[in-house]
Amino acid sequence: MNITELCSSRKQALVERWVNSFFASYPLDSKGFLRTRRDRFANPVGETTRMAAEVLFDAAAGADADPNTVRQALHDLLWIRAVQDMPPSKAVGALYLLKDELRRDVLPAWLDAVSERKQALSEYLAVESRIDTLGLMALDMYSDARERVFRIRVEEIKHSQSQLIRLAGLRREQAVPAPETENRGVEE
Amino acid sequence: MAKMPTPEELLAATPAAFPKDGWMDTKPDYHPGSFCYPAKTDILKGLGFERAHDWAPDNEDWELPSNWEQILYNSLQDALNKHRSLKVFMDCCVRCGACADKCHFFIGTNDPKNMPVLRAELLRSVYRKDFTTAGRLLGKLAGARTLDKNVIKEWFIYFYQCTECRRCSLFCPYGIDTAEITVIVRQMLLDLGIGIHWIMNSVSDCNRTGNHLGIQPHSMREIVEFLCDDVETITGIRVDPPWNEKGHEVIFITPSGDYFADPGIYTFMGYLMLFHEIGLDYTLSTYASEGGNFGSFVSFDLAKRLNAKMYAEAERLGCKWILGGECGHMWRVVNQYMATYNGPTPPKMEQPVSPITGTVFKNAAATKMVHIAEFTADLIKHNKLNLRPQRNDHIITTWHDSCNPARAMGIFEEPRYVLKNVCNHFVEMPEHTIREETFCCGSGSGLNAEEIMDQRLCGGFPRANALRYVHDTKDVNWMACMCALDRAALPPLVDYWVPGVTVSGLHELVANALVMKGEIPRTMDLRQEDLPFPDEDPAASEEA
Repeated sequence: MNITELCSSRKQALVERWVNSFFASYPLDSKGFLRTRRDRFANPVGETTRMAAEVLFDAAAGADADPNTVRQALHDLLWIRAVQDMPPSKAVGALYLLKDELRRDVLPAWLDAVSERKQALSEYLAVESRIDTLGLMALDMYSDARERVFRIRVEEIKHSQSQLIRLAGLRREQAVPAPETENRGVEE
Repeated sequence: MAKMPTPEELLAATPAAFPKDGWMDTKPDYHPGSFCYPAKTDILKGLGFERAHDWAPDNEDWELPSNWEQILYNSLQDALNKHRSLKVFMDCCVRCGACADKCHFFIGTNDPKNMPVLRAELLRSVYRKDFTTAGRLLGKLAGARTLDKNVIKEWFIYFYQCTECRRCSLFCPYGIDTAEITVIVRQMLLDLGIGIHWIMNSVSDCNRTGNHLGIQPHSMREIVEFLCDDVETITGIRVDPPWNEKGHEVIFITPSGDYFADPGIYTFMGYLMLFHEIGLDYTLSTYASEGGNFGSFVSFDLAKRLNAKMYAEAERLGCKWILGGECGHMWRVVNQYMATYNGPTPPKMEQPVSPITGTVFKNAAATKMVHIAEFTADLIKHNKLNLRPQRNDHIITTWHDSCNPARAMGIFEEPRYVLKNVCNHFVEMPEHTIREETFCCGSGSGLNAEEIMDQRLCGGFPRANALRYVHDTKDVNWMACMCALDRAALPPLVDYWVPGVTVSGLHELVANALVMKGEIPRTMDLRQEDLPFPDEDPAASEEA
């Protein structure tokens, strides 16, 4: 058994716990809803988190994962959390809690099974490194999301008064140009 | 020795502990982005709010009047006397929770105080304390709490995180109308001099000049002239709308967003082209230059004042009936509140009859006002328009049911009928996100202020999520709607969540497809972008 197979064999329980650590960012009164309402349109935050966690888990475990699918899943998750009034550490940080879950559950089993193999530890650490990669990608995505929000705020102001700006532009063109000012009273 | 926290401690993601305090004792968190900017004192004073004062939401002290408790008590008493509905809403909720997960703000922010039941409970707890025997005697045990300044702060945050969309009411077995509760609480806050800039400034402008942006008659006319120039560039036809003229059959009133904001202007151009083509006998007005009614979001009295001008102008100009543009809350105000605000319509106005088809709009017998979606659907049904939907063949569109015309007024079929006649590719968003159950844009009821963009993006997420689904699975690249607030609020929402989808009004697409008598072959759409499927040029084909 390799590390990917071991992780995958425990995927369901691990993903469930990981998803709950994402949900822990929300007030207790909302968690029940996020966890139990299994409808992607009625509970988009909960279901997007769950779908993303499934994809990201496979990516971290080292299973065959299409980079675009992984990127999209991470993006969907991060762009929700980026506008949900939580600090960046919380928005991105829950990704890293998968390490805790793995250390608790997978690492002992892995060491028991293959401790005599020289490469055992480095194979396990490769999984953790992939989680670090996801974290770095998430950092980029989080800052992209925040930049987009501020760009949208500026553009909204422009759009909401587009015709007035056009009118002001026309008035400026029509205005008689002011005579060129001279340097009065200043001897060269 | 001090230690760094573990990531788990840092994120406080340890298995859920029960919060130390109940919801009543959890204080609201105030930081930039969590609240709207306050209304200016002179604006409020100009509108007659005596207790307007300078204050800042993130200051500890909001400088409320010294007798603020008495003022609020009187306001609530007054509201209870006026609105029997409020008394019923305060008493009859059994906390079944049917509404709890239906609010788009709750679904998007996951903040429990955005559950409609808890939002109403913010007022209900105060009501119980002072207006019910059980609450007076048992206090907290009966769900009652004493009014303190933190309650006011909480109201200011959460009653300005309700878009009055009424989705929760749809699921409430008693039909408790949270929108009405929200309006009343906002009115009570105004009695203390607490309001938001985005709404009150618009109300003041509308009160003074006739529209929310405060555009004066000459500027309004100039702006519309621009749009006529654009129509001429696109079609070769000069449209020339009449202004403030007496003796026309119809007065056309639309939200001001349609003539000053992107992408509303394209919808407005669509109206002008349609009216020109069918030869409608109408006038525009620089006084009744606003279909929207921001007053209705915060105060029944202000709503009444702003509503009155539409009918005063119709009467002054001697128009028989009003044709309303693509507006959402105008429709709710006219149909559900106006009769109570301002009584019957002026006696000389008549039940609307389409001058083109002869259709009698019996549904408008009381209001004398027809929605343009109904009007155009009727024209198409009677085959009065020459349409070439192929011009919109690059568009795969869906329809966003705007809360007010759809959920409140039941206009579901007419816009879809129009849309399907002007676009060959139409896709519905998933069930339970459309029609009565439509998700709000997240910025209604005067919350389209840019300072709370994060909240708006969260509130609009359920809508965007459903749109994203049809974008991903069915290549939808367009979302049409018939509400000016939607046309303002959905583009940023789509820009964030579903880039690649364009938002427009219904009549932009109608006008794209409309073949006008004497027009030049169309090579561009109303946004002056090249049509992928342009009209054939007859001159070119003759030469060939």
